[in-house]
Amino acid sequence: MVWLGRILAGACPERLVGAGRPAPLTDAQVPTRTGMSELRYHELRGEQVVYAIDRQERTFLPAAEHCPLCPTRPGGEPTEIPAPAFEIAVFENRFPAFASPHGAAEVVVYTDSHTGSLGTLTHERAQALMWVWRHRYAELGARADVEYVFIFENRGVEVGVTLHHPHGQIYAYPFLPPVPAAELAADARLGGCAVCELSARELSDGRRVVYENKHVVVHVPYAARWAYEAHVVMRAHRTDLLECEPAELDALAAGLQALVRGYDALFDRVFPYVMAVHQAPTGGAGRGRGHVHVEFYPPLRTAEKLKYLAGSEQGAGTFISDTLPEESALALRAAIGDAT
Amino acid sequence: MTPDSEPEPSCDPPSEHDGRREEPPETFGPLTLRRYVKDDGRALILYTHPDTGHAEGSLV
Repeated sequence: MVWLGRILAGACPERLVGAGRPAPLTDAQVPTRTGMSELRYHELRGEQVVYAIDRQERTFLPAAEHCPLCPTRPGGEPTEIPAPAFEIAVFENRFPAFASPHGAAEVVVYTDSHTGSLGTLTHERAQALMWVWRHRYAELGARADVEYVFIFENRGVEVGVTLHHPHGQIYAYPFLPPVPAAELAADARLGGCAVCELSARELSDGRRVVYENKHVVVHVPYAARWAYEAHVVMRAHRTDLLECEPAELDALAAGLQALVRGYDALFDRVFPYVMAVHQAPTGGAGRGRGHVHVEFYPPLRTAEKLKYLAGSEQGAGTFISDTLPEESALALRAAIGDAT
Repeated sequence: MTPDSEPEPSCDPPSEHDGRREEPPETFGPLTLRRYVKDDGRALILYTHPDTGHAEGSLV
């Protein structure tokens, strides 16, 4: 017996994705593997697993002259963006983990310059990026087949980046993934907004706060799992980017850039990370509940050493860290100061 | 949702450009966005911002 999500056989054979709680299927109902994504429910873990096998074919660390995220120069090699120049571009991923009518996968290109990072964008461009994120959250979140809009960035080969051009991604999930679900569970456990409560604790303690502006606080969390994990949190309770005032979006851009520049200054090297923008779900029981914040998970524990997810982390689900959050916050706060 | 976040389609007519469908520009807050459909059917949006603008999003 194979357990799959809901199957729409024949409706869209190239973009078939299951969704929702699993239903039992016979082997005969298992779709062919070519050109489709498939959702299976892992009963032991209580979570969905996505099989997007076409992604094996995606472009892997091309030379700069073959970058698919650069603009298409007149007479030059065609890229994903058929324009000679652009500011910010968003397009549907050629190798999607999710696609309509069961979610979406998009690429967000921050700049037409092949080099740089979120930290090196002009502040005006970073502000514009916040509006792009807001737009995509609004548009994707309005879709009936989307329950959670997840904006993220993978930076560095250490976290599996396949293209160096500054960019992020958006997955619009047709279900609520486990991490935002855990945050909603934390709300219930703490009797209110967990992010508000934890941010207040950090501000009261102060030792792990690494950056503040009028609308945003950046801290290394009390129970950070990664050595230099940091959370960029809106001071006011805003469920998503649509609730933010323009000044708050500007402050969010400033906080994100300060942190990324500080990361790069910390060990005087490009600092790899996974950046995760958490907002309220746009569908299901959790709709409208949450507190917009951005979490960074950097794999470096020293300038040269990576944190690997090994036995305890993968097999038991418990992180073992060799760095106290207060110590990493001290170093990160100084690095942000140096980089400003 | 704040009022400035509603997309506002302009009155410009849709056009065709090199086989890629182009929709009239829209605004979203301070952004102007232009939607295209790539040759393989995938959606593409080019965003410009008045404070950073240098590219109008025309395709090659």
